[in-house]
Amino acid sequence: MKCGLLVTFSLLAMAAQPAWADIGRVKKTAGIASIERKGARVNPAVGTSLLPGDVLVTGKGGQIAVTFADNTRFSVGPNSRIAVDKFDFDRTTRSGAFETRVEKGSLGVVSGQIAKSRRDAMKVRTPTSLLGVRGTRFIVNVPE
Amino acid sequence: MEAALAATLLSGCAGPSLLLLDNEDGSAEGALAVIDDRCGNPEGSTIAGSFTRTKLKGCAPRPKGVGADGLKPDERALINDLPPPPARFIMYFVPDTTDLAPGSEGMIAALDLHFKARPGAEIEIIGYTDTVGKADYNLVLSQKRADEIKGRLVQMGFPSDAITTTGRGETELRFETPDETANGGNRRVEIIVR
Repeated sequence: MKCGLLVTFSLLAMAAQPAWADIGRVKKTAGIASIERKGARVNPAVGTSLLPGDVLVTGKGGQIAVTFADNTRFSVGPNSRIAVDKFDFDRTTRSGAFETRVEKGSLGVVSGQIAKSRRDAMKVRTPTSLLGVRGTRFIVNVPE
Repeated sequence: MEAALAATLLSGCAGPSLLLLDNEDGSAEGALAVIDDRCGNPEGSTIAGSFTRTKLKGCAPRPKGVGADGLKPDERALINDLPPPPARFIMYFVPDTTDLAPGSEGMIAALDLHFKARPGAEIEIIGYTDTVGKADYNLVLSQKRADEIKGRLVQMGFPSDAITTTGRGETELRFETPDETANGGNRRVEIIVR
């Protein structure tokens, strides 16, 4: 009896499963800060979802903190432009690819499951170099 | 003279740089690697060593130790402003049901408190089973367990769009057992709050 019920409901449950479109969420923000998305500006209020291709932008005194779906955490400092060029994450296998570009400013990182999944699955680009992230806590600084 | 020296020092630090810190959990030190194609080194040139600063230029990085006290105030601020590490809660179930085991009921309240204290929080619920029953039946049961907990949280006022659920059945056993083995530690949902 219980078995039959479970099977019936499971189809409903699977149909109701929402797509995991957002790749991370803003946890904290201060000062002059915005998200550039396809030419538009999004206010990075706490709880705002991020999408691949978003650029995190801060001005004087600005700050944005983000936690990604693979548990990677970012802290963006003032006067910064940080582009999240690529974020693919398979939540079942916990593997993926993550590419970030520090155009200017400062970025604090604690890497998560993508960096652990495969060598150099997480990359950080600066104007002068390409880094493979092997773990875990670091700061990249790109002065203007 | 002093001004000239200061200018030289400043220009010396003006390019992109990396500050590698210790791992939060005190585990083995972290590392990055310069992996530019044009460096001709498929393995990459490794940068390792906690509390080291490295100029990001060229193919042969040379990390310099700065010590745990060597962080600049803005670097310290950046680390302090990182979001808190994700937290994990585990709840256990009565065999072949989506009913919480008596000892796990209190965990709902603990989760509620934790969620409210974490701005912009989101929740990932992953359901599991023990190895009693067929694998595909257990996959369905594990999803039902995750959905049951989500339903209870939404009823308590948790925002539905901040919760995702997954069922992983009898994979990733918390306690390794043979097939067809009842195990209360494996009949669970794991809840990640991030």
